[in-house]
Amino acid sequence: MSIKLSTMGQSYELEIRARRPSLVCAIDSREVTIAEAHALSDECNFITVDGQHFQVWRVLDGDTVWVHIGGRVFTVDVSNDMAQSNLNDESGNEIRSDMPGMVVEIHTSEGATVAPGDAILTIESMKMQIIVHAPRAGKIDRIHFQTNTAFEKGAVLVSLESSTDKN
Amino acid sequence: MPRLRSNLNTNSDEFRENYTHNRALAMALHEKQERARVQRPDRDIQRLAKQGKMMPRERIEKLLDPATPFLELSSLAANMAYDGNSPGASCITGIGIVSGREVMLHADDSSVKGGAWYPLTVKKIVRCLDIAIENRLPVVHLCDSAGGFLPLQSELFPDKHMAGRIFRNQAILSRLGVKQLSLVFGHCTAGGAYIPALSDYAVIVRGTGAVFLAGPPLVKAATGEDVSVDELGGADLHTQISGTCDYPASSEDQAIAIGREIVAQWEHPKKWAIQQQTSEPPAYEPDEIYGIIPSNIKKQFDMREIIARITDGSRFHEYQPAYGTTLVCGFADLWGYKIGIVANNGVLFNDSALKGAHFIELCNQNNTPLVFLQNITGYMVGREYEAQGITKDGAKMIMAQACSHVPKFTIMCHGSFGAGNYGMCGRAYDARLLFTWPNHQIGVMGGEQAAQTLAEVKLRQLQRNEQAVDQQVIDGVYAETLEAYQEQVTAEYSTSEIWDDGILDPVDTRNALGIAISASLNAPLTESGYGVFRF
Repeated sequence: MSIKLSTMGQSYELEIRARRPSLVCAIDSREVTIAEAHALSDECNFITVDGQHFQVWRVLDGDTVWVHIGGRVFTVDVSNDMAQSNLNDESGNEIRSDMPGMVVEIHTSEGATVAPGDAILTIESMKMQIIVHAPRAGKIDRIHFQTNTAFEKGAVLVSLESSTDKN
Repeated sequence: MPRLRSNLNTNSDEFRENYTHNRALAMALHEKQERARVQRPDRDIQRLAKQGKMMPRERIEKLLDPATPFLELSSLAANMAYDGNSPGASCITGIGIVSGREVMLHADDSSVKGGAWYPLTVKKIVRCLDIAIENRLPVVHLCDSAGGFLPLQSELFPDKHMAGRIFRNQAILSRLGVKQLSLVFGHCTAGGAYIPALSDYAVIVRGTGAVFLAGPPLVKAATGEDVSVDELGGADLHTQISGTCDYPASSEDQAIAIGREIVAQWEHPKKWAIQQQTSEPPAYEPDEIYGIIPSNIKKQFDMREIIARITDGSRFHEYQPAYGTTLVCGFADLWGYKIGIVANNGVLFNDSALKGAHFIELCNQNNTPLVFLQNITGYMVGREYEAQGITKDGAKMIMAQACSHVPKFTIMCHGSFGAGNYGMCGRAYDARLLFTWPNHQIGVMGGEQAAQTLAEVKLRQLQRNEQAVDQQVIDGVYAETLEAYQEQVTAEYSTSEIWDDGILDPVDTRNALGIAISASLNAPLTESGYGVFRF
């Protein structure tokens, strides 16, 4: 089971590897053992993390968890992948269309650098205009269609320079 | 339930442009509503004052419980008909609270041509009684009408859903055990006389209220009898002698007070037990909706951004997030009520149509009301998709949706073109309430497509008849069709014709849906059941 956490603007991937006899978590693949956890109250725990002892206060406020540990206060958000539904393959170099259509506008040019989410093209299909966004950061290698040209379903619309090409 | 995470950049130029555009549309809507509600010629205001009558909205205000919401329906009905002579279609309808009970109000607007019924007035009254039947909502009629507008009688009298339907619906309501009260402030002539007569309770104001099948002039013409309004159908005649009305009132204020007391005697409805939890406001500002809706009807936007601004805590449990992604389906809470949402995020493909049909069935199995958020240009066309059975998959969605027994609500968020309108619970599919947004457009196809199709038909016709092809004629057909279309596709036209139950300022959507869902719980759930799905 893996959970995504963010605190103080940084996200961490947390994987629970064992619950007994001690809780073993991998935080961004670094293994941590949390032992002798016992609760003083619902909100206060004594825990031992890799041999170091801490008293932890934890309060829930909506979706935000407030944690007081070692004299510092953190807020922790449990992020929710499902809600983001980012279903694109972010590693791919090719952006394909899942329906036939026509290019109506090109927002950038070959050779330009794009950030994730930048608009590259506007395509039109079935009377609907859809903006094609950059799935990841990178350099545009090729835009395969000119404005007002039609393409088939599955056609490669844009190629990004492969991330390993970067020197 | 997880909170949706908005990807909206409220600092972008696009957001600001959309925001300005859509807020202006909303402000224009409020201005038009204000004009339709209160702007009347002085002589009409004075005429009512001279008769000792209140303005219709004053009556409603006094009747409703103080500081409770009133969901007015079709406030801009007939705004593009009859040269603007029938603001709001000369009547006021809506769901409000009287003595703690949810009721449907129907009030004649005597400040417009004596409250005469235009064809669209009749359509609006019939619609409000249909809503009362579907939701088992008690009705309070505030009667003050000169009767049918005779020059247009052929459009308001003879057909199935015309004037006769008003009284038929009243009888059906009564058979279903739904209570009705009439407050007779002015004349109820001819058919209109049946409104108090078919109500369970009727209060009539002495001096101004009157109920009769034919007024004094018509009686004189028919039989030669000379009789005054009061003698023929006044308060004393009907409450002392004929028994057509039950309570005499010496003023409009007293009639309203008696009316409120009558409603206070009614048993409280036994609503069905919808899944309910404590409500929380959306985490994102509802007015950001203005910045989401593109000013161009063709432009796509992520409907999850809208969902995040209408549901409790912006929370959404998305069903099949990776399958049929052009249709967003999932569960949410709205004002504490559990709902299922079906929202368009693009053209409907085979998989999205199947997902929609399946999700509608899940909501029916779970007794969860459905909210449809429309922005649809149709089901995908083309040989490949036909070969995959797009038509039969769309048919499955229509089947599931049409036979759905849980309450359904539709919001026309943007475009509604072609058969997608059907699958997404368009007007023909009995949404308990259907609202549009000011930017909404509707039509069997887009304006450009319709114009192009007709221009091509014209071209072929000319070629077939071996006539010279005059490009000007073709262009004329194109321009003419496009122009007619451009007027008819608008939300204003739609609401004028009562294809909806009113235009909403998008920021009011959550509240309107809350009232609508609450009202829908008055009607018991029926058994679920479907026809034959084509697999």
